[in-house]
Amino acid sequence: MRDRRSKSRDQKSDIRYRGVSLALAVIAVVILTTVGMGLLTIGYGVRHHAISAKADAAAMLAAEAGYEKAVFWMGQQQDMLSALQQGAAGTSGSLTFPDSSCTYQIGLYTFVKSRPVFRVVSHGYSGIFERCVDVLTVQMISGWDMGLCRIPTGATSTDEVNFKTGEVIDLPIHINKASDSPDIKDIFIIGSPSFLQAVAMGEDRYTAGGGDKYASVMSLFDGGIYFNQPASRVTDEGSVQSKVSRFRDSTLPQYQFTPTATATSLTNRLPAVQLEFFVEGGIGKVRITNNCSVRGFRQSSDSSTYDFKIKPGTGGAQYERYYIYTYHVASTSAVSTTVPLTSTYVTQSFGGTTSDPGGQIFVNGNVVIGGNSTLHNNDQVVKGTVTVVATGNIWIADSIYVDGSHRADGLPADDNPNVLGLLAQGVIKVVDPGLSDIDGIVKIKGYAYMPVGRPNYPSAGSTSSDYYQRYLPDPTIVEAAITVGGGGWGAENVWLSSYGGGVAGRKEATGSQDYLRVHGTITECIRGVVGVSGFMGADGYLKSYHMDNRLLTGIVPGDIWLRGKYVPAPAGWHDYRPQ
Amino acid sequence: MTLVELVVAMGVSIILIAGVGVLLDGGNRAWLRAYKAANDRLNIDAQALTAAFGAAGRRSNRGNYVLYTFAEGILTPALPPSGQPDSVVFGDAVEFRYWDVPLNTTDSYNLMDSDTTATAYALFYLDGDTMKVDYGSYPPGAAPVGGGNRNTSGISTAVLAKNVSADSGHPPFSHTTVGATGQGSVRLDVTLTDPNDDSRTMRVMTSTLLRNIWPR
Repeated sequence: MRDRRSKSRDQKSDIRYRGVSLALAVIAVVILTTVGMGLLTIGYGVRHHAISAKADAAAMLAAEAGYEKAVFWMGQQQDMLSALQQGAAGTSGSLTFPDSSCTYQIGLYTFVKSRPVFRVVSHGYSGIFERCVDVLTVQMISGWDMGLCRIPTGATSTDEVNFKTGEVIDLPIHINKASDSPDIKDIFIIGSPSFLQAVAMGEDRYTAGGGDKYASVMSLFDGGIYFNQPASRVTDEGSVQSKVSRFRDSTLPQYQFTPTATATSLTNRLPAVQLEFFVEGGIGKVRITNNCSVRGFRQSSDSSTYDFKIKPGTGGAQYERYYIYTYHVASTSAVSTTVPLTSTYVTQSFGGTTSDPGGQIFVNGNVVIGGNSTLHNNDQVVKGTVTVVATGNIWIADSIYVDGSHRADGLPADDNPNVLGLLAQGVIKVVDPGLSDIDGIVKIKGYAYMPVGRPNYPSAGSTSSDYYQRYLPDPTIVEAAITVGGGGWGAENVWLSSYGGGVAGRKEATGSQDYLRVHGTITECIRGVVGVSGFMGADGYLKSYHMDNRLLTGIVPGDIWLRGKYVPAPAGWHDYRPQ
Repeated sequence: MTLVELVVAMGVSIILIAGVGVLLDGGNRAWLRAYKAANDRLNIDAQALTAAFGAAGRRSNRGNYVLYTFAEGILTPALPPSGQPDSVVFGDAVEFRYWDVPLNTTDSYNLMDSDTTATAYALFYLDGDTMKVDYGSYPPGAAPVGGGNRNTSGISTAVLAKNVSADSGHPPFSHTTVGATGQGSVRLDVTLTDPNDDSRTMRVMTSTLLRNIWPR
């Protein structure tokens, strides 16, 4: 009995002991679990914080990379509007990185006047984090873009063109990479010219061996100098053709011309349309004379002339002498059409977005701008906005002004709404009206001589040889945005000292050299000769080029710009975290 | 329960409690570290500084920013040394100029005008040991062209960080000039110090790229 009671007591004690142990074990497990959970939470928090900062930065960097890829692609397009219209592959894309990715989309945001503003939206992702870069971009516009800072001197040869002491270059400059060998500076400088605005070079500052090509000239660039800049696409015939095609397609049919040179007895005849701009009764007008015949002149050898243009289809590597302007005639039965400039106005539309109206005239051939109008003392005056595009050459045969107020320094005032754009797939050159007397008295049955420039003998009649003595004023002023797709901007018939031809250089208004003032922009494949000076003599013009900043605001109709770089528009950059 | 059992149980409990205590203490320390990492004043200041500086720079005009030296309220443009157009130039302040109104589809603010190079400015500067930023309209900007008194009218000032020093031996802001012109990447290099513990510092080095160039 006693043993049984004792045994029962032992069993109860054992159960109680086990219960205490279980309780202690449970308490310990709970405490340890709590601590473990806490540590895990803390660890997660620490890592989450680190990851969020890192991933957020990675997402932002991915979004920026998408933007950079998009604008790089845009810079490679022959014509961005055409690429969008055709839905070209590349208007959207993606990038993948080890810890992030992005997708981007390119579209047209709006036209500011006639300048397209594009929109790039790039989303960057890293884990659960997302950043968005939303940028409005515009194609960069420079003051003076050139494919090469050289002039052609033969079929495949070029010479350097120097900026010299005393010259003041007050407009931004861009020069494409020459890829020359040996690798030398692509800008040529003698002495200490002043570059007051930014200079952009396509090439690197250093040679492959690390040599500093620019060490001796760095102090000259008061407006700064930038290297490795994207090329101007003016040297790409496809890009120029793309611009021309879109321009043609958006021009009213009645202002598209294909001239024919019908004066069969004219030497070296070339077809052209003559345009004369003037203001009458407060209305800007253009007089259009189609089917003019230009008398061409070409020196007999490469060594006798500076008048070259790029040989089409050679990618700018070969050059050829071309027929320069001497004078032109029109059929006596030809009817000139005079219309208000506003009659040529069109808009460019894309996806419901429309540009401001602007004048467009397309000529499948050559253009002569100038004439014998006495409304403006033989000058051409443009009231309105208009762009003239020619598949051939554009010959400037008078000073060209825009109507409206001008600043004290002669440039159009900032609020002046009038503008002229010029784009040629040949060359754009200031003619030498002094060549007009090359044939003496011009008598071609059924055709009338069309004088340009200014007469040396105002009272002379057409039966007098004096009637054909003509010149351009000093200074000759051109207020325009100039784009030369087949050569360079400059003056024709500049005297080359070594040639022995019968035509001894340009006829100046005063002295041996006049001034050529440009108020606008110049985009050219290669440099053209404007004037020469030196111990062999002087001829042609002295340059006086000034940037017309109004052209940046989009007032030039037709989107004729060719710079291969896109930059954010004012107030165009936005980045944020999508909700 | 015998005395031996009690002693053993207490011993086990003490060991367990001590272990748990150590774990709790470690956990607490870890939590404090984590909390500080997330909410520490130095960290917050560094993030605020980086974010404000980066955001202002990204939307600003590369063609129109100015690095200054700043002494006694006078801002003087910091230029490369004479004869050294290619330099790293340091300054106590940098003025970013940007647009604080949108470019809308009709350009109703005329932002595409070539003379509208900015409509607002942000001046980052070290005032004693405090990093501040002034926001104001442009023009006139933070100082007259060529330098002068810091504009104090019509502005709003934000304190980005306190206990800031430029310990790298140079003023806090810098950029690289080529041909005496800044290339648009502006750097910030400062050290933040914990006001309650001088031994705790954080060096903040960041840069911002000004992509916009206007007029172009």
